[in-house]
Amino acid sequence: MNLHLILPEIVVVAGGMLAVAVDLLAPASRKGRAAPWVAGLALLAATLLVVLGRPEGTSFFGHHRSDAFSRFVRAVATGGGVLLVLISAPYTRRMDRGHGEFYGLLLFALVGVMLVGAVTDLMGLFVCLELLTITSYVLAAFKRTDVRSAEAGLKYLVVGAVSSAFLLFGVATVYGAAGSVEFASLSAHVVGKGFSPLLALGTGMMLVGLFFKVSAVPFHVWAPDVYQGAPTPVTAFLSSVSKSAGFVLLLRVASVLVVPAAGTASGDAWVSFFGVAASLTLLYGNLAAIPQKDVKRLLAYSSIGHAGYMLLGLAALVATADPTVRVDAATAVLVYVFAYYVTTTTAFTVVAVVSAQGKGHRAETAYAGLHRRSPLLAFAMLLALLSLAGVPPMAGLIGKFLVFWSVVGAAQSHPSVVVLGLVGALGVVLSLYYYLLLIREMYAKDPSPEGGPATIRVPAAARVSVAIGIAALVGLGIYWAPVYDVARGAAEALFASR
Amino acid sequence: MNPLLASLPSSPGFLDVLKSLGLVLLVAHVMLGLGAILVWAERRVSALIQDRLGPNRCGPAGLLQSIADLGKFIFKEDVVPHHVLKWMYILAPTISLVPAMVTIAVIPFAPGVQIADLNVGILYVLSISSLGVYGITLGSWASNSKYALLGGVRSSAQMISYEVVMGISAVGVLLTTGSLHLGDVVAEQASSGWFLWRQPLAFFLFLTASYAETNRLPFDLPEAESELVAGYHTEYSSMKFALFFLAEYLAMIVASSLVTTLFLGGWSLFGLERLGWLAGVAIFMAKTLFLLFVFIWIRWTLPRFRYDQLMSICWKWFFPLALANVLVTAGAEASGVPALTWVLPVALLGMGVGAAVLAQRRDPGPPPELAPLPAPSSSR
Amino acid sequence: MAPLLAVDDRIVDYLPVLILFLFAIGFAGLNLVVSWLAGSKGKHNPVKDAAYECGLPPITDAHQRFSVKFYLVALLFVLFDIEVVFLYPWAAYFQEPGRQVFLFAEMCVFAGILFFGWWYVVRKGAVDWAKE
Repeated sequence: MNLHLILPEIVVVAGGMLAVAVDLLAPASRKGRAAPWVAGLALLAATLLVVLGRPEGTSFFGHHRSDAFSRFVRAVATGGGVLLVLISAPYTRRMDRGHGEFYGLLLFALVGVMLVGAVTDLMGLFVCLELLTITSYVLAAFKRTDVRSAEAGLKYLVVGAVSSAFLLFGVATVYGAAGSVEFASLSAHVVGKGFSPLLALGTGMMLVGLFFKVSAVPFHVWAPDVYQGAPTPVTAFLSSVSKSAGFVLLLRVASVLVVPAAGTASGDAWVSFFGVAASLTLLYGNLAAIPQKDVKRLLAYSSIGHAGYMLLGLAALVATADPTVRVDAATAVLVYVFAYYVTTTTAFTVVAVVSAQGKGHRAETAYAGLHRRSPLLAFAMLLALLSLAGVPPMAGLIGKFLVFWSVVGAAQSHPSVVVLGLVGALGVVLSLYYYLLLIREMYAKDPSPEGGPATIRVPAAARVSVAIGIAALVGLGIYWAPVYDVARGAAEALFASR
Repeated sequence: MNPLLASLPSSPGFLDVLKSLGLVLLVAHVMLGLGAILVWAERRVSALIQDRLGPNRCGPAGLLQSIADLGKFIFKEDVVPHHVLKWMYILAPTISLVPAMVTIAVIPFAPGVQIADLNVGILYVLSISSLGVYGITLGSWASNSKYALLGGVRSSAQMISYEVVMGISAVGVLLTTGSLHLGDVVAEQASSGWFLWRQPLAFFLFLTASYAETNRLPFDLPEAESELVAGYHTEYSSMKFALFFLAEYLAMIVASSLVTTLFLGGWSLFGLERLGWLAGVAIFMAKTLFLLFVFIWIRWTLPRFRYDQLMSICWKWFFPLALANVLVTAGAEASGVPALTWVLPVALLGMGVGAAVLAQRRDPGPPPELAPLPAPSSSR
Repeated sequence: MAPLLAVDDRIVDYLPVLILFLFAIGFAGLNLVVSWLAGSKGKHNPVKDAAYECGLPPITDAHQRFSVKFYLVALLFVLFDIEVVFLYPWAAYFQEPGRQVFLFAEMCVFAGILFFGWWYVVRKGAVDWAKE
């Protein structure tokens, strides 16, 4: 047994249990004080273990592999988890019950994400994803006296169940067609025998199940309502952690099942599959975001649009025949995931603090003249929006640049991919428009009388989180080489390990 | 190749089928006959305990009472009230009866005398016998009557709760044997002592859980006469009622033979089983009959639990005790110290007694709405 | 990788179970049919068709909401009974020589997590039926 390989996971699970236990034992007057600390420290410890410990090797009879790829995913999950705890702390302070459960569920969900990068077969994939998804249902409905939150939880549950069913039937069909659930033998099967109709059906169903998770069009309808209704820290969680887990799995499934078929007729069919999904998602997300008045809904549609860019990277990944470009594309998706993670977390920190005023999320009231009410929040939101739009020198630019670069690279072996690049460029222009509308609301307007107090007090935890966010957004935009190197190592490991 | 497919060519010969058919018919008829006798025995024993006569008109000592009852069940009017969900209502008694009968298949009555020799043994027993709850739940729901529904939901909650305890308490026996095969469990007891002595806590928990599983006193809340009329079978009459009734007695027989197999050494008794398989069967029957008598004895001795007591006993005390029993047994086995063979049962018993004392001291008493009314102040 | 437990299961072993199953269904079905044929046929009337409520006319349908505690128990059952299923293969493998200490340690971790869950459930009052 190589227990040290899953030590980060053990630490996070223990932290989750401890958070629940501490909260349960605390007297009524002190409920909810300790749980965020326990959760945050456990995640911090796990982050250090992942970053400094460099675990390598396999454990559990080969069902769990620690390599550069899983290390990247784990670092994103735990490091991002620390930010989420910082966002959640002011929020949970206002709750009267369920503090321990909130952090416990959050940590258990993060364990699901951590394991996602390390699985070596389809069953493991399904179990990790369920661990993540089932905890998310509860988190989305956490404010259970609130109608919207309950609606969000219910919608997410129903849609999530459908997508899990797709995924599971897909897994079963793939097993029936290829006779194995292990990634290595599946790749070998595709290389040796190509895609039978049954295998293609199974793979397609699995991809559809994952498209639900990353809210790709046409499986996106749940996203705006759930994002709007869920408690804001949970929305941040859904749009960052949950989504990156979905893309990690998409990368994995694509590299295991789809990439080996590159260059064949079925490989071309998969390129159109991903290409159509990517362009639909891009256009729909960015167009539907334009009329949104509610900032949470706006960010929800924008997150659909960003899923489109990441799918663009995946389309390039399956389209190219050149292994170097393939690694480039995977790197691009990973860097994009990371940059999007940092950006969206910063944006939702601001949304969480603003909505703590109790005046909702409407752009023309709660956000009007935000820079007068809290210069810090307005500045952080400005940077986050610019990063989402991909304006230099923000983190978001790097992700977009790498994705487009890999599309150009893929065009050498598959010229029609250029069309996707053009759609992506159109998406960038569209997105600038609605981000600028919100920026105008914050900087060019006077505070609305319905928007709450004239100055917004920013809690300490949110200050820390905003500071980290600003530093990461700008820092990553200027000095992105380390993240790129780590992501590239992860991408190489992804293809080496299959 | 699939191991199940691989076994197909060695399909059973005609003789094998005939043999198992004969055994099935024999066992099933013995079971049904025993069920009928049990109904009579229950009434006679209760009369004995309550110092009355009991049924004594049909045949010598009322022995033919069950046959008379059967005739009555057949010729009575079969009422299907309009408000019930008809098909579910008709199906429910069958669903309740079938698991009770089919579970007996893996019980070894004597070495080699067994309907089906399955290597999953105990797992089969627990999985099939837990299906019985469907009959009760469906019957109570289909009856569309408030008493029946109350009885039904109570019954399902109770049965599934105690099923967990039943499942865990059997694990101590299984890990000592190292097999799920019931034949192995009995052979282990024949060679190195009954599990009644080696796993006393597990025995107590298993026996109690099987009382709850069969809805018998002191856990008969699903059909508590004084509050729910008859519980889940309130709306049933004629043969459908009889099937529910029979299912309950068959479940008792299965539970007794399972306890006999797991804890009382099955067909073994100081080497007497070496006299031949008939002796084994006789020993097994004697033990099972004794346990059935204990079922009846307890019914007419102990009062009924309140529902909150029933649930808190199961979840707050039995569940952790059963799990601790598994851990302590595994620890003693893993340590490899021979002296522990004698210390272990004492330690386990001590654990049980300690928990009972603790439970007694922490009992909050009945909730205020259930507390007895103050005695009326006499104005005389 | 060699299988942990040798499988010597044959589908033929289940044939007697099938026979017994058919016998049980046949027995129940036969009894129902015989009593349906032989039983006396009474007439329906509104009082006879009403649900039995000790003589009071029933007011509503019985299919209504009932206490959420029953659902809680059902959830607890699903959680804990699945853990029980995990105990069985472990128990069957326990007497394998040279593995007992490892298996015991493994079960300590497993049972520790299970105990934690149990403690949480009890402490939250999910099984307190007397308390609202």
